[in-house]
Amino acid sequence: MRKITSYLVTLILANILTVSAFSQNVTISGNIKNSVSQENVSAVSVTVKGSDEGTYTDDKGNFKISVKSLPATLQFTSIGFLPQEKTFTSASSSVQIDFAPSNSLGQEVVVSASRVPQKIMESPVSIERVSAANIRTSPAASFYDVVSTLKGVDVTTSSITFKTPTTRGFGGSGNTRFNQLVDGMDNQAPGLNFSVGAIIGLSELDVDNLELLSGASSALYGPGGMNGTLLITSKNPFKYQGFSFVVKEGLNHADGSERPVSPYHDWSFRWAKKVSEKFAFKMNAEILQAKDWIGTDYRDYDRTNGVLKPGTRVTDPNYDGVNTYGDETTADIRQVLAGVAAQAPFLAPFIATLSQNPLNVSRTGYTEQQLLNPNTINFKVSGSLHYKLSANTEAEIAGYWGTGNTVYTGASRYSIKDFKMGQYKIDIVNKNWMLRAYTTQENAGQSFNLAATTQNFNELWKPSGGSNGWYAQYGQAYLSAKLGGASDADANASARAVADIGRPTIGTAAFNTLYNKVRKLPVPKGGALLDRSDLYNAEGNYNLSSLTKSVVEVLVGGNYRRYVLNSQGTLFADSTGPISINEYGAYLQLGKQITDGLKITASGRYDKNENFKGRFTPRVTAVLKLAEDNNIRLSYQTAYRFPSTQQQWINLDLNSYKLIGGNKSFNDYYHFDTNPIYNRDSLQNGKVVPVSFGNSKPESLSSFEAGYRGLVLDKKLLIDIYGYAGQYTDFIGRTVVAQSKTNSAITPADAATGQIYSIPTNSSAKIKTYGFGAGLDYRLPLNFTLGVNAATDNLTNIPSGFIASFNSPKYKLNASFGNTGFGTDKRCGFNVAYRFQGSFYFQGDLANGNLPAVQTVDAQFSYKIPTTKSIVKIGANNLLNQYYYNAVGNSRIGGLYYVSFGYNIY
Amino acid sequence: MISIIKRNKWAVLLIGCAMAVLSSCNKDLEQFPEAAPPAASTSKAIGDNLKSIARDSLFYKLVQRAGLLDTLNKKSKTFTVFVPDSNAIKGFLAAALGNPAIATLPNSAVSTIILTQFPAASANAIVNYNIIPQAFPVASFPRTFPNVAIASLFNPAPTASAFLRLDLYLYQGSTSAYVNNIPIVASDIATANGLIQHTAALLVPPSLFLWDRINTDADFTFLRAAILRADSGTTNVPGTLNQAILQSVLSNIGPDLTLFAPNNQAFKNILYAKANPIVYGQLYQGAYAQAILGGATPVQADGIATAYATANAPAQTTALVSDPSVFQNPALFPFLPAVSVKGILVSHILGKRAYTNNFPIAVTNVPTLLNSVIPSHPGVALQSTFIGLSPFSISSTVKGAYNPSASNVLLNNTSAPFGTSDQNYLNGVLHKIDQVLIPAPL
Repeated sequence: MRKITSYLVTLILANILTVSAFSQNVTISGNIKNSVSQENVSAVSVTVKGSDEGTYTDDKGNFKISVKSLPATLQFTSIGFLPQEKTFTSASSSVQIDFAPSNSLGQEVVVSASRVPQKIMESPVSIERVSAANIRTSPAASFYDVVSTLKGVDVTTSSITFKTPTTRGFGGSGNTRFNQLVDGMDNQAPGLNFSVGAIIGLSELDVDNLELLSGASSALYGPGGMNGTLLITSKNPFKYQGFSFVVKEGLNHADGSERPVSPYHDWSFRWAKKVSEKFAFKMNAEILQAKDWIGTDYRDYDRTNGVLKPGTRVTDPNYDGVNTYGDETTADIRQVLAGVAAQAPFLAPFIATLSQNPLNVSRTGYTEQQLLNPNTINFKVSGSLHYKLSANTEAEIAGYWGTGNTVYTGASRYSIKDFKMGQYKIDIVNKNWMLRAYTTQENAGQSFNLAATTQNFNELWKPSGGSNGWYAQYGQAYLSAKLGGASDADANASARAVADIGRPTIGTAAFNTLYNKVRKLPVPKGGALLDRSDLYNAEGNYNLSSLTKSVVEVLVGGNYRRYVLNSQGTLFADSTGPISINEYGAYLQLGKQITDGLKITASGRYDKNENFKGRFTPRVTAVLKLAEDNNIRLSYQTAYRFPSTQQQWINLDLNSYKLIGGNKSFNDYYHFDTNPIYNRDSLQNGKVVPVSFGNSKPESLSSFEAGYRGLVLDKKLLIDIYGYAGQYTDFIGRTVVAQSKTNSAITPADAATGQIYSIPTNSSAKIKTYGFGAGLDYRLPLNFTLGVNAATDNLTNIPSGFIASFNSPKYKLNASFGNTGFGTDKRCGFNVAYRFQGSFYFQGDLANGNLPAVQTVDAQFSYKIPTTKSIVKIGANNLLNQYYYNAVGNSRIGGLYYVSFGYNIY
Repeated sequence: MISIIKRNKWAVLLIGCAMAVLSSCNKDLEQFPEAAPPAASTSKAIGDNLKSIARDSLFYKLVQRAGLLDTLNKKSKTFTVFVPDSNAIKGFLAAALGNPAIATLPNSAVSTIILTQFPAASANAIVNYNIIPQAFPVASFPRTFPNVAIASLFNPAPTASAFLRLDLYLYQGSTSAYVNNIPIVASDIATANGLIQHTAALLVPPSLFLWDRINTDADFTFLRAAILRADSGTTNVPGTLNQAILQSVLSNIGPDLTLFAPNNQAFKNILYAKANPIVYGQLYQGAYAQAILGGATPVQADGIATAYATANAPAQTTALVSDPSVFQNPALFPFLPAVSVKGILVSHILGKRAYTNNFPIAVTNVPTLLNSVIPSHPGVALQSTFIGLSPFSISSTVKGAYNPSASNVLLNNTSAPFGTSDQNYLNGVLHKIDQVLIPAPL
């Protein structure tokens, strides 16, 4: 190992030193303009043919490059333009290059598919790419929303700024089966386990591209990525320079049905400067303020059986609304009535007639609309310093920091309030190798769990128990009403009115004082999460192909990762101090061009987590070239993930049950060895089924995929088709278990009265998944574009009663029609995007239920002002304001309408 | 622009199709059909029903006088109302107002009396006592001994407790259904807000305790003395016969009892049987000693003493037990220990209220309060006899475990002071019997 390390270090130093030795002495300068619109073209790659030397045009289209001698041939390339070469015999004056736009498809280069740059047409796995140009022409208000238009993508929207994309199923807030990397950094919050790409990350102006790998991707990107990986890359300040800003003003809640019409503000700027040929920097900031969407699902939820049921606060005394909180507290008032009967025997027979069935009653809750501050603010800032150690080696120090408030859906709805997260990295990137170290610093701020907070708020206002507690008052008032001949409904209404006397009214000082007190108290006495977890990661890779190309292309790499969980006992079992979890991994990829038309790549990755056995994940891919720009891809991939940090160490008391991780330490802590646990559902059916604890394993997925990507019809139609099939092993889910509270033999009654835990378990079933999709992109004359994609994802072989939370519609379809330039000087553009997703049964920790099919239309019209490279855009997301949900319990999403002005946009 | 559209007709057509698809709105979340609330019944509520039925017209006036008409007309509430006919109301009023002529007055005149002379508070108490706040069809009345107690609307002491209610006792016998000891003559008359059960008599709420009757009835002076004797020396040890103070139990609301109350003669009879050998022995010993002192031989003395005791013991025993003070005679305490007296008395009390119509038609042993300390005790054996379809028992008996024969319940269910069976009190029902029940060998 030491020899290998020494060898790699030597290679790296050789790379740097070799390329540092170059010298240049003739300078060529010029300006590049769009041959049609005559606007300056920025970020054009200008390279000296036959060398590594190169530069980019600045925001005014100017370039300056030194060459060793004349004549020299320069190559000009940029996505969206025809490549051009020009030979210079003198460097006496600035030259102008007319750069011809191109409307052809399939020119993009992707990196993530194989960790090396390659044409997207030749990618061995399914990949989608979104460029800065795509973002510019998209009607989506946020660049993050563009992802939802990609083939096979499902997005779960928890709130206006909290969106979670996934591919191939398992959608939901905070999906841990889908990786998100921003500039190479995993941006999953290490403690809260959700990716924060939309709220802490890049501003739209700084996004260079998004690459979406659908399906298993662990072999290259490590644990996680069972279902896909989204890689977001920012703009390099050497390439994209100048000062830019976007002011976006809009409105939502247009019909006033949930809130008054509300303004939407999204302002951002980016400033990048190449100080010298070696040094550049950039800084970004974005602030968004809006009135958030609201969870307004007030349907009644049977939390014990996990199903929606008929009923309202009026008709069901045990009402537990999906988006109402505090009503999760429930009790059987027969206990109260029995107490009355004991003291007043003459009422016992009457009470007996009332007590033949459980009289479950829930505390009165408050709605999400009442509880949550509607103001959503998101502020993010980032910056980086770049220094070119050589023509091919660039060092970077970067920081990304964000704060704000949003809403997340887990076992409850969480108000992510004053959340802060920073990601800081240093990396050195050479064309052949890369070294990177970064850390993620999470601070949950004043985030709180709505259900826990409101339940505890109710307890603080009026305790549930006790001789004069809420339930005693309710039970006695109920009995009194029944003794007067009242119907059940009237008796319950009367009882609730009595028990709720003095209940703090929303908006009053009494309510605010008490609620603010409780939300700041850590669970279980309040609802606050004090999470301050961190992640540290170091990684590197080396492409040895320059040395081994004659035989095989070789890429090696590895990483080390350390989680430090620190919630002071409010989320994890870390009341005695932070918990650390160490992981490391290494990978090797071999590629071989077997024939002109066949390239095979094999890769493998080994990862080890200190709490689990090491895992090896192989990947084999083949690309078969049928003709130029027509390729068939085949792949076998495996992916796996270690249980998330929460699945290992969470220790959350949710009053009605304890949500715990699978680490063996809980065995001793909760005495599972001496006071065993049993399957709660079986106990409810009178069966005693013991459950063993502490055997959780990583889950894995083996997946086969075949696809075709080709350009036809004079390269104006891009076709991409894929199909896949996979099988999960040791699928990680949760099981509800019961334990005797008195350390005595378990009885069926303990299903209700025992200590209830939710523990992670692996399913022994071989759950299978399959799906396919197709996409067409057509370039019409006069800059019109047409795109259609459709996909289906399916999960089969699911054991009866197993909660897989697949959460993917069987069918989904996207269609778009647009024009990138028409009218005078082709300054106008528009795009209309339609999305359909079929209905499906949603399963989530908060609630399960059917979600109806959703159709949305987004649209934008834009007008360019070439002199300042400015764009005025008017757009709408969900143009028809057709409210929809894409998860039970999540916010209801309506139309968002905006006008934006962007300056120096490229 | 127009030329562009013309050149791309198909694209425009596509957009048009897409917009057509979109014209179908997103569906809202699946909503579950609520169970339709029961449609407001078009039939009359109880109050209006009473008004429309001629038989119930005087009870309706009583309801009006009680101020409960609005309550009984609320269709959101549910009641079962026990309604006697007008003759029963008249009979009650005649007794209550001390005016026998009321029984023969026309309904219109009685209505006026109810609305003007009969105290509203009394009307309120009576009507509330005739109402159960639930729909109780006769089919749901239990057939098992003794009955089911269901709270009426009547609270005899609201200031003491808002939850205080007097119970009604529902039972379905072989010939009739009953509320307390009153037969239901027509059942389950449906209304918009419950049921009307026609009864043979008005249910009048009790206002006294069992002890009040025992304390004042001249035929229960021995029973009263026995209770006081039983309570003497009580140490109030939980779980023993000394735990409860009988007088207190019989004097307070809360317990719901059946008391088989032996009349004075019954006590005298058993006391005589118990005391006579003792008196005979003492007379014999006294006469024998005197004879020996007078010079008689033992044989002569025996003859003298036997003759003397035989001649005088009955009279002296009779004299001894002729007064309830016998229980306070210290000389007899060794023969009448308090705990034994209490043991005998608690074997006269059932922990539930049983009217004679509730007694089984076959001899059936039921537990008494004695079973709370001697669970295996056979209790007492009850039986009532009915003839044909008559809802009233013609004979009711109760037998102690060691009585040679059953004691008769002295049937007369009229009100106190003459009534002797099914006497309704706040804390139980009293049946006068002609034997003391013997739970153990004397």
